[in-house]
Amino acid sequence: MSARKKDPNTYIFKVFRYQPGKDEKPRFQTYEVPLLHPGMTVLEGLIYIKENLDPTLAVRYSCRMAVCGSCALYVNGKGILACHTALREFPSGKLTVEPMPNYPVVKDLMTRMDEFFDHHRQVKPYLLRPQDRAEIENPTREFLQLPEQLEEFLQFSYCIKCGLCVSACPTVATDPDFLGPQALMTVARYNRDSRDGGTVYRLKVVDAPHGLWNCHFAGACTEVCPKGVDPALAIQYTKRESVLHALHLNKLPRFRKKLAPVAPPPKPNRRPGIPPAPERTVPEAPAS
Amino acid sequence: MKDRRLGIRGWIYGGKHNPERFLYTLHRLTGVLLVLYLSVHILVVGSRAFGQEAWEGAMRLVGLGNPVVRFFEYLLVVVVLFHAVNGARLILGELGFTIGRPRRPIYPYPKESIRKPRPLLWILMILAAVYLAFAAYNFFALPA
Amino acid sequence: MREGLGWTLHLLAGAFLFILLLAHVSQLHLISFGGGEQALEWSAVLTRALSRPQVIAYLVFLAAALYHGFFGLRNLLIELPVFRRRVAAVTFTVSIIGIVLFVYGLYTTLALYLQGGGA
Ligand code: HEM
Ligand code: SF4
Ligand code: FES
Repeated sequence: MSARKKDPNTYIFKVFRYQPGKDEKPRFQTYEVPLLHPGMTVLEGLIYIKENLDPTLAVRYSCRMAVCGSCALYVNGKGILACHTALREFPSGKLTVEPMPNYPVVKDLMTRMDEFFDHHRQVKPYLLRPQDRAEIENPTREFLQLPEQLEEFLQFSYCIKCGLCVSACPTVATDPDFLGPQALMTVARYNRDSRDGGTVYRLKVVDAPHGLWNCHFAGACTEVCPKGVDPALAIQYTKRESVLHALHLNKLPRFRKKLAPVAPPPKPNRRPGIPPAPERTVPEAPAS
Repeated sequence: MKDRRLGIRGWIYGGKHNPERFLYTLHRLTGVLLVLYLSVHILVVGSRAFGQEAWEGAMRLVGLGNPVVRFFEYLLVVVVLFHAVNGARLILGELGFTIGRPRRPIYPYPKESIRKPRPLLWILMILAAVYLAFAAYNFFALPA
Repeated sequence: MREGLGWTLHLLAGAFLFILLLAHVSQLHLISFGGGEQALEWSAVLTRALSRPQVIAYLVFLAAALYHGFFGLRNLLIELPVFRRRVAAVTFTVSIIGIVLFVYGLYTTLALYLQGGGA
């Protein structure tokens, strides 16, 4: 292969091709893709291949704006969202496109996410309030939360479930039962939320073999996350919480979590002394 | 469906990621080496309970005074220092110190949990290197 | 919260070892601090084996290092494909090895100390 691409406006895509059950083993297929506009993304390149060169290429995408988390894959060994990475980020003009490692391949660049979402569900990714179950089941009003309480977990709620962090994690590489950075990060997302009272329930799930403590802080999840979620940060905070619980220090006032209250009911009557509204000057609109 | 799970190979290389990911592997490697050494060490050093003869026999057996053994002894000190220094970083990080606080993810992302402890790691590594240089002087320059 | 307690102790033991291990390495391997071959002479060995603070430090060190090392080994093993569904068996085996080594270390240290103390 030539050291540089021939034409600065052509990108060479070396794409992982594999159809389990049909192909014996994976192979790489090379395509030449023109730069159609300066901001063209890797995903647009793949769609160009699919539309013009090879309709059999399988690639998953949906929102093409870094919101749905469908298009995660590896280019030149780096985990990226295909829709969120410009071709011009690769000045060599050569892209080796592979599906995320550590997942089963459905076809070509598509990976199977069942296990990932199963792990996500295991950590109860929703508000738990066993302390007042009635309010959770039949909500009457919103919970009160201060802006600084929101900041405690907001970063972790930006996750789009793309699965890149899991593909990068060295523990996941050997242990399929390991919950993985995304699920473990979600624990902090909810445990740090002042509206949530389910800390002990989630700790029970993750404080087990193949759980929280099989994270050894390699940090690859944080490095790869395309949304800046910093899963490693979230997980280390959950470890701190687990240590506090193990030593029963969570009962100290300093570490005790205070549940956000339900908003008080709106005042039924107006403040006294306010004069009544004046008579209507225009007739009421007829009900449609 | 082919599971492209990397296995132990993934500890060594799993894509272009951050240097801490290699420290993960090195920490494991040094940890296992230390466990193996510790086990043998306890058995060898236990010989002292059986008198001077046994002790001196054990010391001959492990090759006391042999320059090659001395070199491996020095390597052991290197392994210990790496594991200790990296372990100190891990202990602090895992207990929630040195890693920063949640922040709005505004591009370019701060990635605080891996970036913030780096200066500390550098300082610790430099201290370890100073210690190791002193140890090297002790091992190879001073008369035994 | 079984794992959490185990790990809390693992980290505490690690912090403890940081000091003990560096002291130990310096004392026994660095000639400047009286280490190296001079420290392995029988007379030097005996002096240490009969000193009460040294014996206490040895035993604390022994327990901390064995716990830290073998708990760490167990955590590494249960992440491997062969052992990941055999967590209890790994924990059991590793604990037995650790306990045997601890008892041997305890016996050899105390035997010499008590003999020397009696004589
Ligand atoms: C010098 C003091 C030491 C410190 C500060 C230290 C610190 C640590 C820490 C923090 C971990 C956990 C890392 C994680 O989250 O996985 C660890 C793991 C480990 N340590 Fe140590 N350690 C020390 C000495 C030792 C010694 C003497 C041994 C051997 C007997 C040892 C064997 C291990 C093993 C086998 C692991 C597990 C490795 C893994 O699962 O990746 N460490 N150490
Ligand atoms: S934490 Fe980041 S990398 Fe992981 S699934 Fe969520 S968005 Fe993707
Ligand atoms: S297509 Fe939705 S994140 Fe890329």
